[in-house]
Amino acid sequence: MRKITAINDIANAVDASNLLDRPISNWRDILAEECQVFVFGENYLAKRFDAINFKFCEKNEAKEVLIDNLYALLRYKYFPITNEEIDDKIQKIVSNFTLNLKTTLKKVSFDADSGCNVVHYLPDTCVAFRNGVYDFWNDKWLFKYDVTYIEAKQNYIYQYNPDYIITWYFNLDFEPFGISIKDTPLDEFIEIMKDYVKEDRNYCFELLYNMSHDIDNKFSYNKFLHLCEILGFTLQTSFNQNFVILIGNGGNGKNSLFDGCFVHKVVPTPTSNSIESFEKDKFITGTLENKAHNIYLETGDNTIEFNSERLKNITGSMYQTVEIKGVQKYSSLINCKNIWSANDQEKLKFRDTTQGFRRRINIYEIFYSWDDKKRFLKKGDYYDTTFSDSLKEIKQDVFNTIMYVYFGMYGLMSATKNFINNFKFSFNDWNLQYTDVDISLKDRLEQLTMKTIVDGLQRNFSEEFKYLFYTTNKRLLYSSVDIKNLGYKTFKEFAFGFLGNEDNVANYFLENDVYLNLKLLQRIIGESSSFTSKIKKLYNIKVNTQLYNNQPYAKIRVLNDKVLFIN
Amino acid sequence: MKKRKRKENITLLNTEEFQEKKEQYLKLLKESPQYSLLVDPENKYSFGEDEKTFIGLYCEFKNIELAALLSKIDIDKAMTVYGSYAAQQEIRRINNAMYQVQFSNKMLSLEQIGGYLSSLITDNVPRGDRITSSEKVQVINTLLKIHEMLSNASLRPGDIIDIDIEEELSTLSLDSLKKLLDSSNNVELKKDKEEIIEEFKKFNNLTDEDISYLKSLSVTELLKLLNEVNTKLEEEKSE
Repeated sequence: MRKITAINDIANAVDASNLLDRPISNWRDILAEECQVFVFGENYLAKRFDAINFKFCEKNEAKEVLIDNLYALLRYKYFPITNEEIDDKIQKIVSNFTLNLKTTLKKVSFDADSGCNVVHYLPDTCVAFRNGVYDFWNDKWLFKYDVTYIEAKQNYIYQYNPDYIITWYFNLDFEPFGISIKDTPLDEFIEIMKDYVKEDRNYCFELLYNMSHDIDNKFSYNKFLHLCEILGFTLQTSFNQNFVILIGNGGNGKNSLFDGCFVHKVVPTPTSNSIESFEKDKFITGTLENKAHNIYLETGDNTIEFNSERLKNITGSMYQTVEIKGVQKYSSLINCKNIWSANDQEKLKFRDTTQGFRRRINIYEIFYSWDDKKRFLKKGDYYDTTFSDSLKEIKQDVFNTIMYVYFGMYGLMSATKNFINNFKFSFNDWNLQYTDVDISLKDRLEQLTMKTIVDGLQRNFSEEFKYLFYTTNKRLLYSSVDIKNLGYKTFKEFAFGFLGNEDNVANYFLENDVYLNLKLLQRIIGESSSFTSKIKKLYNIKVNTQLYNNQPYAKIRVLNDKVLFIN
Repeated sequence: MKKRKRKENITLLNTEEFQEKKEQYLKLLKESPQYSLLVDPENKYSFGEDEKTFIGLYCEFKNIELAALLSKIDIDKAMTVYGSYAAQQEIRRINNAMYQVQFSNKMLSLEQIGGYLSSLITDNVPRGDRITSSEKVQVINTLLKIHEMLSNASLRPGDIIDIDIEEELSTLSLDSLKKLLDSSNNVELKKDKEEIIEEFKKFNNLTDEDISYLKSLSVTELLKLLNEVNTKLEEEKSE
């Protein structure tokens, strides 16, 4: 660490004299590399000199950070002595550099084909700490920061390779534990920790161990690995579409684990937005920007049905339109890992049941429950994880956070198959109860074709099927002008003549949307209860009940014989 | 009165304050990783051994091609290493450290010259070495100049870095000492140096720190370095 002190004015004067003659224009290249503010698309990516993490920001904030950084670098790194000449020089360099940001700052992008400087998030094998970035897979430091200590201000200037963008870090000085995650299997590490906690405490391991017991109060290695993958999910720097929901009654250790071992050591501090606020709060993107974690572990008793639209959007892509109250919307990146909890799986209902959305949900069911009479200790092989409400026993011992990181990296290694594949949870306690719609019905409706409907109508022919189709002009299809012009006068002729001819059907429905009677459709495909309401929820459509006898009709379009429900 | 003031100035070099400051400075250069001439002494950048060798050799010869040949890495890798943030930081730091070493050497040489001159004006000199009264005035003036430079080391270090101490100190005559300290000579010297530095620039783009360091060398040292680079390059290429 470089210490800026008054320890030797000769050394400082020589350093300064070496730089004083340098023309102002020559400073641009050096400072563009070191100022830690970059042009990023329409906005800026900036890191204040005493911070380690970058954030996305707009022009005014970027300029403010830039000026702070330039003064810090010039005053404390390059010109550690002060006199009028040096002060003048510094001022000239700063004003020259900040005249126009877009032409002096480096332009960066995360995309390789962007035509500008490519920057990267840290590799998934690495975790950033206050004293450097450690590569757990290769068991060595990726790099340590250039730290300039400003003794007079009790502050630091952190600098590191501008090819890497650190967006969050653990605010602790990390020292490797001496275990290589590549060479020591997880089960062996668990045994090492079991031995360790015989003589010492490690609440992180003990909580993980307790939370990994199954419904029969038996420790499950798979549950432990699943939990490690969830910790790994929080450590991953790459964008990940998954989100995690922890299911279980209170007192199961989830708050203690995340609050005690993780949240209080992470910079920037994780946000705490409920899953409901993703549905209701239109400014949710503003609160998630520049945050790497959103952890909300409170649960209510209400059953909540989620439309899932915004949640799907935010978890689907890193590139988002950010909306902040009183600020014009702008494009930015959101790379935030979400963890929520629920008491009961029955009380969470997601309307979106597409495969694309369903695979994002990862559920972990916790069966362990702490009680103050410690009855849980008699039920199985549990550790006595009793601590105060303030969690000070966990928070004060940094080893808990270090173990969180090690187990998390084991999990990340497992979910990415040794950091080769994309992240994929190996386990998921998710089941169909988490949706309020019938998945099998949805699958069947996705296979629904006009041919199925026509075949069904012809098979179950009765006069009532007259009312199966209405035109969008709200006329019965069989007696509409178009059908009559084709020469089909009666319903029977329509049912067997017109609908029996595949070309007729294809031509007519290619050009015309129609209303379809859902009650009659229900009879054709043999579905029984709550058919209409299930379809309404599945496709988020309105139903017309004005056409015939108060019966529900849905508008459909036929594409390549496939029936699509539309609004 | 004037005489007493001169005497006070002459004894300034031996004051505890100056000696303490100087010792502190030399200790800092020796012990602080900031001024270490080794590549990445704190292992901040996780360089490979070959990369460290390349950076060290670059700082020594200011020539990417020669550093690549001597460290046995191909030129493409050498260019990548040279252009990396970590290497640039280290090159900048080492250059600055070398500049500091140059300064400290010159400071010590000046002090040594000051000591030698002081001994000439004391009464304890053997009869054969004694100098005339007019020479004494010259010596005292030169001595004052040296004292001024040293006492201003933390205010105007450029004055010291700009002088070229090339000859063996013991063989320096009073005339040549005076010439050495005369700033009017610097104009010519600077011109010569710039011409030689242009030769170095033909190999690659030198950083500002590279140039500052090269400027701190004397003309003879610069020529010697340039000659060494050229000879080694030819040798390596012929192998």
